[in-house]
Amino acid sequence: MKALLHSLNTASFGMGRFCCCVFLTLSAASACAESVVFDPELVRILSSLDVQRDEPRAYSEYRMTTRLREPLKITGDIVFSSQGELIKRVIEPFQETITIGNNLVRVQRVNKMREFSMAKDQGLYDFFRSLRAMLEGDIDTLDELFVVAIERDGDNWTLICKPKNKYLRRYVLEMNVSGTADEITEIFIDQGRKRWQRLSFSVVEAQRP
Amino acid sequence: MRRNGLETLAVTDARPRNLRLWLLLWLLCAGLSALTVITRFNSTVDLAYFLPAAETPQESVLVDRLGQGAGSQLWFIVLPEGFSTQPFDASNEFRFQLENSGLFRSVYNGRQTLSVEQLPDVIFANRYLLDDIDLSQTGVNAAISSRMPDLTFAPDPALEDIIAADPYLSSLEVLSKISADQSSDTMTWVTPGGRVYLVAEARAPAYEIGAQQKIAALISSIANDQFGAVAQTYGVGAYGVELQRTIQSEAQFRSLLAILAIILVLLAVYRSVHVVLLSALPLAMGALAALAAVTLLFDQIHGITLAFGFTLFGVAIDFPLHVFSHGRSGRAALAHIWPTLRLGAGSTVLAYLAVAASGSEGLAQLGVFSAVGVSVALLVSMTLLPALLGDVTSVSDESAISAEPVRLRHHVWLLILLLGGSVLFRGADHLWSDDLSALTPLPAETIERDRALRAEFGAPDIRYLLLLQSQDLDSLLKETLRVTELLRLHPELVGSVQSVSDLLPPAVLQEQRAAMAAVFKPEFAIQAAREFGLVDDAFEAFSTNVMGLQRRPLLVPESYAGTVFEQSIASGLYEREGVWSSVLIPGQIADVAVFSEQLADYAPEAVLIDLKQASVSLVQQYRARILMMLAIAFVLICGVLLAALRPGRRLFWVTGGLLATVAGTLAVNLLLFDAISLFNLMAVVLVGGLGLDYLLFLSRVALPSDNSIADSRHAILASVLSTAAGFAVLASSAVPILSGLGFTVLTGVLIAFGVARLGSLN
Repeated sequence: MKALLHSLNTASFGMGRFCCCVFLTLSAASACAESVVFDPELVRILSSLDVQRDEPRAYSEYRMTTRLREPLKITGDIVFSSQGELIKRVIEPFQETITIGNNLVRVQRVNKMREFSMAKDQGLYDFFRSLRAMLEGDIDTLDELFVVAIERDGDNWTLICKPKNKYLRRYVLEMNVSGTADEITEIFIDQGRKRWQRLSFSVVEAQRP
Repeated sequence: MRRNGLETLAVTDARPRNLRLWLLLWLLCAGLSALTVITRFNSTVDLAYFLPAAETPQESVLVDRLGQGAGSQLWFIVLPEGFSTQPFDASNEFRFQLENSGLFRSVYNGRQTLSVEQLPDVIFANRYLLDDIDLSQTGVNAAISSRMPDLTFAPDPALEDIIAADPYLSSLEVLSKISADQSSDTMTWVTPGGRVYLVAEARAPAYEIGAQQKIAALISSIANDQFGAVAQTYGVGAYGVELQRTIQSEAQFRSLLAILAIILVLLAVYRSVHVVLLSALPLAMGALAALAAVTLLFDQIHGITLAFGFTLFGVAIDFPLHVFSHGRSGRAALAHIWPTLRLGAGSTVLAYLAVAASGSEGLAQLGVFSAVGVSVALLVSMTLLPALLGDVTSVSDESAISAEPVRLRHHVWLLILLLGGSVLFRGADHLWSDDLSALTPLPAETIERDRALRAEFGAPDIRYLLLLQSQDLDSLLKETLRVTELLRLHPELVGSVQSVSDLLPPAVLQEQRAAMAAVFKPEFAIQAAREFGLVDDAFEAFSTNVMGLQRRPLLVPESYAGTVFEQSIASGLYEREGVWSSVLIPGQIADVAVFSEQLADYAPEAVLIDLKQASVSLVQQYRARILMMLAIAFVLICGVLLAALRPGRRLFWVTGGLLATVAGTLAVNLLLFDAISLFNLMAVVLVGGLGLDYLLFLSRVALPSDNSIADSRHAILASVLSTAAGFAVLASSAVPILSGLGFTVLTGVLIAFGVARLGSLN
């Protein structure tokens, strides 16, 4: 019975969705790029990406939902740790740290911490797989997850990613990952029903509080 | 006409005149019995049937949980690595098919389609009766403020809908409290290697074996047909099916082999197919009547009753053998054996009736089954068999030997009694197995796998429970809430507390919560939405729900009928004989002694139940009661023997031999199995019955004019050989319960024969 009651504990599912979204944002570029492993140009983009370990990158993000009057601005930083963890911190307008690694997701808010398995959500799980695949050069796994088209304008490029997976499609209609040369500058996720999020990386490194 | 020392029966066609009458009578009995069995037969595998009536609150809770506890309807399903489909797809497809089968109340595979509709209706609709919330403007503002991270980060529109209807997330808070142990949050439902886990709650109770068989078949067919995999299943229902299938098929196979062995022995002894066929008649009639009697007296027959009933009833094989062996000396000789046969059978029936009075419904069934079976088999042997056998002609050449008087030697039984007694005395400190799990016929490795899997699924073994009782439901709910809240304030004592008060607060508290709605105005939600940059109608659903709160009926136990929480309520709150009980589950107790001490201060009326200790105490009391009843039976048997045999050498020899047989059998079992279980004890009762029969017949005073002693020896040899052959087949089984049973009876029969035969010489 207890196991079934767990199943109804949708708080953790909700968290799973949050993390899925964060993860979408963070790993979209690499995942999309890897999925076009058979396109030499995209292989070039992917291989030139500079993935820095243990270096926080500041970001600002706008999110829109059906119940917001106008897009909400969020700021914080993101770190790829050398242990393979992905850490996204929200600094404004609230504090939150989400850590993803070893198949577990940890969400830390003020006076509250929660940990759960990524396997609760297949979308989250697939994105984690795609990240791992990118870091490890697993082209097959990335190709399994996305269909990618490329738009190019000089040094600027955009990867237009459409999930193959029906579980991802439930949350993401399309992801556009833009960059210049070896750097991702923006990730835009269209979730449909007037719901979207746009994450931009700052040129200047974020200051740790 | 002697062949290898065994004689052939010469059967003539002469039939007594009353054959038709007896045939008609027994056919009528058989028909009525069969009709009763066909129309009323209903079996169960609920272990609680074999537990004694609970005498203390601890035992009462233990018996309840063993029978139909909240977890008894769970099926744990594992798809091992290596099947063809993508594991997530397989998991979802499996879940979909199980959900749509109608056999399950709910199915879980670690993923959930998030939506308001997916939340249990009873929780979502009553969330504000179950949770304390502040519905003032300040409270609404605080709730919406704390939801902003969730609302803006939610990629799933459905979660946004939940927040819009429940910005306090009260429904999730309630569910979180119910699910005190969060270990399954980190459970991997699909492993990186591709192993898939699912858990499903069956609609049917675990004892409905037919429904469980349907479930097992469905799971097996989905796994096999669609994924080319063999699903592993765990849980009470799965074990019931496994017992039914594996052990029963093993029992059937072994029983067939045993029957074959017995037939071969009887053919070798009597050299007559006619006789072998006739020997089955009393057994068949006895079994049918026994089944009918149990079916009439009890609502359900337990599987163990059937298995052990037929075993105990095996003593009846002696009756036809005595008829055939003594029948060799002519019909007149049969008349002489009836008193001894009646005495042996009557004494055995006394022992079985003692088993019937041992304090549990299962044993009552077992005793009634065996007693009725033996009685009917004896009556058929006495009335119908001689008539069907016809006249027989003696062809024995042992008359010279048997005409000599029998000498009863006491030193044989004394020696066995001494040896057996000393072994039992030396092993007195570990004589009995007090492990309740030893009652289950499941292999130890299955129990271990079950334990590991439950821990993995976040349903760990529950050892401690807290019991609160009151005559009045509302008083009990108030006290349950008080104790629950108090314990939750002390995480240093207890890590978690699962309590029915989370689902069923006292009426007065529900009324207070409903009254809070009077404070609320829809403008509060609009004002808060504006403050946080949300549209005015963002929380319209919430406002509508709160406004309707005061019109909602208060929650009562029946509110959860038909929901996923029905079992939780049933096992956490129940009424028996006018007393209401609530059972709390404390988890992760840091120090039981300290917890118990503190509990005495916090809630002196609460009873802390250690299920393990309660089970040991239950088994000890159970065994003590069975032993007492058997002792009473022994005294009664001695009384009957005294009346029938009169004080003297023979009485002394028979009772001493019986004691020696029982002590010797128990001693051999102790030496081989380290401890004697209740199952061994039941087998010893059969050995006692057979031993008494051997002792009585071999101590009969020989009639100078017939082959009585030779015939008795002949019958007993046939009985020993056939019983030993039959139970040797069971002893060779890989199923522990069958091999244990077989071995106990096999050794017991050999000891009984040794004591009787070596102790009685011409």
